[in-house]
Amino acid sequence: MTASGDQLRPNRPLGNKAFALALFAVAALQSAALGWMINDRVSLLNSGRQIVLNTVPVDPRSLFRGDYVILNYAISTFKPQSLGGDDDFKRGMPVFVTLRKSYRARWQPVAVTSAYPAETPKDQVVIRAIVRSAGKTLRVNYGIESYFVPEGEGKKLEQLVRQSELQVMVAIGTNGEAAIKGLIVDGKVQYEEPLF
Amino acid sequence: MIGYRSRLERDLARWEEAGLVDARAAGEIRADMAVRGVRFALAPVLGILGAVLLSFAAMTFVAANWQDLTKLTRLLILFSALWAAYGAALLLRYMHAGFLEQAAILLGTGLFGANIMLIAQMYHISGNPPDAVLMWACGALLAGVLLRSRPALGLTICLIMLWSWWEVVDHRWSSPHYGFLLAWTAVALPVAWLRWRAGYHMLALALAAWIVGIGYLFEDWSMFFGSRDAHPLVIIIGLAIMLSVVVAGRTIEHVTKFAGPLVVYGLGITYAGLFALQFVERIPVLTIAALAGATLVIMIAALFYGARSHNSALTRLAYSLFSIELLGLYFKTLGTLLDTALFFLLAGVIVIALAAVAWALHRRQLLGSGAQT
Repeated sequence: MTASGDQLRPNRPLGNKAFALALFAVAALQSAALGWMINDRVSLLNSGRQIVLNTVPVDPRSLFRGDYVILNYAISTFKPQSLGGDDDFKRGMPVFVTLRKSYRARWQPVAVTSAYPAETPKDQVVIRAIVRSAGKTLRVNYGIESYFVPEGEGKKLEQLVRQSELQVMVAIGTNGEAAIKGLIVDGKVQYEEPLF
Repeated sequence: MIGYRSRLERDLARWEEAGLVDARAAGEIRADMAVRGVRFALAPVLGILGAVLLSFAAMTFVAANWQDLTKLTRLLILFSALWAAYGAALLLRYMHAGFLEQAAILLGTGLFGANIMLIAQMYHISGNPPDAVLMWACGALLAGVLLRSRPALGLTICLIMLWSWWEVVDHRWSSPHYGFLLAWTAVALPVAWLRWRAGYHMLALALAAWIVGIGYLFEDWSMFFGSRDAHPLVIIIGLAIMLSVVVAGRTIEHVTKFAGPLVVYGLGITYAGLFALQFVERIPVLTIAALAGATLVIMIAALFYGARSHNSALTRLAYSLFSIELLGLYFKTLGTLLDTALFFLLAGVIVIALAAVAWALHRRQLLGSGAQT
């Protein structure tokens, strides 16, 4: 395959004016898609209900996005049979986990359903999740398992947690979508995320 | 293209000597080649490589997650870079640097991908990483269609392959990723519309990889040969592609102008399935021997067809696969070494007998054409 000039020149060339318009359209549409991505997050972080979850981080590296820590949550594995709601789940399907604040102000799953529950009491909150593995125990992802850190800081964060308690501030939207708002170390907000 | 020029030069010298082409015509052909040769300059290749390098620079910048700049500054940098790349494309168009304008478009689509990653990183979106690649592919496809840009379409093909591979690996699927076919069709339409031949090859490679993947993904598809995976299905698809070209080659060539390469990809797919069955799977020795026999028959048939249809790519692939098959059998050994020796002996005798037949046919052809003149 030779990438010669002949190869790269379109067979059906656009006129200069059409080309300029098309360039503008491409740049604008791509920017709009990115803007929509940002807006989605910012509005969720701004307006969502906030809960605090306990976590333990591990330090890997993402192919495209650099260093990050994987945050493990106690609420990511549970037995659906012992909870309210549905029991039959398959890998990859979205589920809605209802959490309730219980013992020592920790959030615990009380029900798991395949559709967003019709009614939720004031002291409960619903998070959307994707089933990672199904069976007697269900393992789910909430989309808040990665926390990106500057190069080399993942290990530091991991060590910090050996001596102290790490918690995550999570914003939850009305449709159950979750987003990380910041980290709390020993009860003090450490990494609060600016919106921009 | 350089290969074509030197071959043409060799042929021209021979034709001149034989008196088929006179000196004036030969001179004109050489002059034409010299003019066309300017187009095959290094500039477009370097332009594209430069765009790829700059895109990687942007992506590693994102990966470094440099906290010295605020989120807003980093966003502004990458957004302006995106617009600057498309602006450069327009500028290069007015400067009539056709191929560099394409490099700028490719850079723009690369920066779009870097922006997606930056936003995902800034807001800690872990979600489903392949979704980000799919979003990137959609942006690249948009640029490819609206700007009629071949490099952007080429990037789209690479991205849908990455997307499909990531989906399969991440979710450990036990069935093929059908979404790929939809995405493939969406890219194939503009590639066909632009009649981009290198794009046909990229599309064919992508689809071939997907088909070969079926063999490993379908579990418990034990219809034939006691195989646990679906490699027999891959072989059937490969053979069907080859047979359709053999039977309806003229129609396919008329519509696609791609019948020659198609049969080559068909052979590749067929052999990928055969190879997996014989050397990856655990199946009985006698079945392997039968499959090995079938493989050699297919390769010889492909050699015959390649010679008859002047398809040198097919001939070369068939020779290469023939060698790979023999090496594979040599290392696997069919039962005992003595059994393997017996297999090679039988195969050798049959192939030499075929060579004799081919020689006889060739001689008759020569005599026939000699009688006509």
